[in-house]
Amino acid sequence: MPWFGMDIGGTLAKLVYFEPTDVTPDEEELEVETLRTIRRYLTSNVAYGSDGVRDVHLEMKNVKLAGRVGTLHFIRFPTASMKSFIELAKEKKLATLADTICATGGGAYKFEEDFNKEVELALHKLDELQMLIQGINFIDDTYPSECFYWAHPDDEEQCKKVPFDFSDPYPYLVVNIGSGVSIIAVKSQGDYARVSGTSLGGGTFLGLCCLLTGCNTFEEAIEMAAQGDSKKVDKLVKDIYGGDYDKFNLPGHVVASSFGHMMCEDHRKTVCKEDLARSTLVTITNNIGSIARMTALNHGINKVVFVGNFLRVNPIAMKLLAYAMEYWSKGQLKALFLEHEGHFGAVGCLIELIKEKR
Amino acid sequence: MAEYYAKSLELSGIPALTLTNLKHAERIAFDIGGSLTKLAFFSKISHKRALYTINPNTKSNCETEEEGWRLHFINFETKYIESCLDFVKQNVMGRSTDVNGKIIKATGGGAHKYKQLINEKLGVEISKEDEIQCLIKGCNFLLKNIPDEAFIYEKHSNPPYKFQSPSNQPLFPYLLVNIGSGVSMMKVISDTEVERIGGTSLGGGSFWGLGSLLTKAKGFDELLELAEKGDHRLVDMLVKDIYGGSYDLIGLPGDIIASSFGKAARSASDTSTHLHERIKKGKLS
Repeated sequence: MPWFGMDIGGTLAKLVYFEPTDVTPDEEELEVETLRTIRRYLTSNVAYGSDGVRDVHLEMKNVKLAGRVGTLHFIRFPTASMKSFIELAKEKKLATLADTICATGGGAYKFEEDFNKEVELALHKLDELQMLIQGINFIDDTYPSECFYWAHPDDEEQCKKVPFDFSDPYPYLVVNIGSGVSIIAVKSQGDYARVSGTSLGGGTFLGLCCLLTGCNTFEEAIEMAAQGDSKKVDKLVKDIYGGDYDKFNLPGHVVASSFGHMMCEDHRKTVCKEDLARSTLVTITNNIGSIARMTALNHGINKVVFVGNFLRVNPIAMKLLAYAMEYWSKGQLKALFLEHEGHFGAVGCLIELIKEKR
Repeated sequence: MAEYYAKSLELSGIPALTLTNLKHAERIAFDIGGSLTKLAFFSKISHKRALYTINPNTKSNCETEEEGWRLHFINFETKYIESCLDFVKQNVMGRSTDVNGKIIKATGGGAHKYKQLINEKLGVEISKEDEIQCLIKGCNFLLKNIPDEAFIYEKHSNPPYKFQSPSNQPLFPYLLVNIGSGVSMMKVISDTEVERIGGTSLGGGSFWGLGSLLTKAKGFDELLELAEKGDHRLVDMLVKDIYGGSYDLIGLPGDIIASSFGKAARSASDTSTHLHERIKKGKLS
C-alpha cells in the first residue's frame, strides 16, 4: 500500500488509486501516518492544486483486488504540471511507503530520472499498449455497462447510449485517441499489435482550437464547438459540384475539403470562433473515423472500440464516430465506447502491480 | 479593346499575361475545381530550329522553320471564372457565337456548377466530361509520352529528384492520389478503368484555409514560402517530447510527430514573430 497505477501521456497524466475499504479497526490503528495522510488527501478532495481533478462519477466501489476490497479512484492532471506532482509526492513522503510505482506512457521514460532523484522512487516502466489492453480487460470484467454504443447517432431526439455486451470481444480494434492516435488490433487474449495511427489527435484539436479561437482549455474548446456550424468553414461536395457527385456516390452534404472556404476573405468574415472550433472538431474526428474504418476493413474486424481522453465530455465526437462508421461501412462496422475513457493505461499498471505482489 | 480587356483582367485578379497565349488556342479544355480552374490548350507554334549537322552536298540552310503544336498550362482561382470566360469569348471565339471550329471541353465539379454561365458567355453547350476519366487519360498520356514527366523524391540522395522515362514496364495498375481541394485515391487499372478506393477531406484546400486563418499570408504561394522558413518541431509534439527519446518497442523514432499542433495549446500566448512560420510548417506536414 498505497496501490497506484500511473499513465503519463503527452498532454495528461492519469493516476488510478485503490482505496481499501475493508480496513479493520485494528488495521486502522496500525496504519502508518504517511499512508493515512495520502489516503485522506486523495479521497477527501476532488481537485488537487490548480489543475488536478478526480473524476468522481467514474469511481468504482467494491472492487476486489488481491484479496482486498476497495474503491478505485480516477485522477488526472496536465503532464505540464508534473513538477508539481513530483513535489507533492516528495512532500507526502511517498518513498517511505513504496519503492516503485508502476507507470506507463511516454512520461514514465521521460520523467524517470526526476522520480528517482526527487522522490527517490523507481518507476517500473510498462508498455502503454500492453497496459491499455490489460486495463480494458479488467474494467470491462468489473464495471457493469462499461461498454456501450450510440443508437440513432444522427437523430437528436432519439439518440441514446445503449449497453453492449463485450464479454466475447475478439477480434476487435482499439482506437486510442490521446494527444495522438494509436490503433491496435486485438485478435485474442495476449495477441495484439499496433497496426496504424495518426498524429492528428486530441492534441491537434486542442492546439488548433487554441490558435484559432484564443481558448485555453479542452472544456472551453468543446463548449465553443457545440455552438458552432462547420458548414460555413468547410467546403462541401455540393459547393464544388452544385449537388451530389453521383459517379462516386458522394452526396452533396459530405465534406470535400475541410477549412476549404477559409482561403476566401469574404467567407472568413462570416464565420465566428464557434464555427472554427466546430470545424476543427469535425475534421479531426472524421479523419480518425476514416482511418479506423479502413484499418478495420484491412484486418477483417467489425468491432471498433474508441477510447482516450479526447472523448471525455465530447458527445459530439462520439456520435460523429458512431454515425460515420455505420454510414461508410453500410452498417458492417460497429463503433463502441467505454465509460472510463482514457484511464485504462493507469488501470493496467495497477493490475501489473497486483500481479507482482503475488 | 485589347488594352481595356487586359486592364479589366488585372482588376479581377488574373494577370493579363496569363491568358495572352490563349488568343491562338485551337483546342481549349477546362478543369474547374473547388479552388482552382486549370486550363490546358493547344496552339500552333512556328519556331526556328537550328541544324547542327549540315549536309555538304545539299548546301541547305543551317536552320529550318518548323510548325508544331504546343501544349500550354495555366491556372487561376475559380472565383475568376467569369473574367476568363469573357476573355475566351472576346479573343478566341471571335464576334460570332458559334464555336468556329474551336474545340472546347470542360470537366471538374465546376463544369457542372457553371454549366449555365459557360452557355451564356460562350453561347455553346459544353458537355461535362467525366472528371476521373479525364484525369487518367491525361495522366496516362503524359506518362507514356513525355520524358521526365514522372519523378521520385529521395530525401537523402543528391540530387534528390530522380526522373523516370516512359518505359516498357507495365503501367497498370497504379494508385493515383489526386490532391486538390480535397483528396481522392484511385486504383487505375487500365486506360479507361478506374476505381475510387478512398479519400480524405484534408487536402490542399485545408492547408490553404488553415494557413489563411493562422497567418497573414496572402495567397497559396506565400504560404509555401512561409512554410519553407518555419520549424514545425516548435508546434508539433514529437515522440521524443513525450518519451524523452524514441518509443523503441514499436519502432517509433524520437523525431516522428506524435501529435500535430500538440504544443500549440501551450504556446498560444506566444507572440513571437516566428510563430506564424512555425505554424505553417506544422500544417504542411
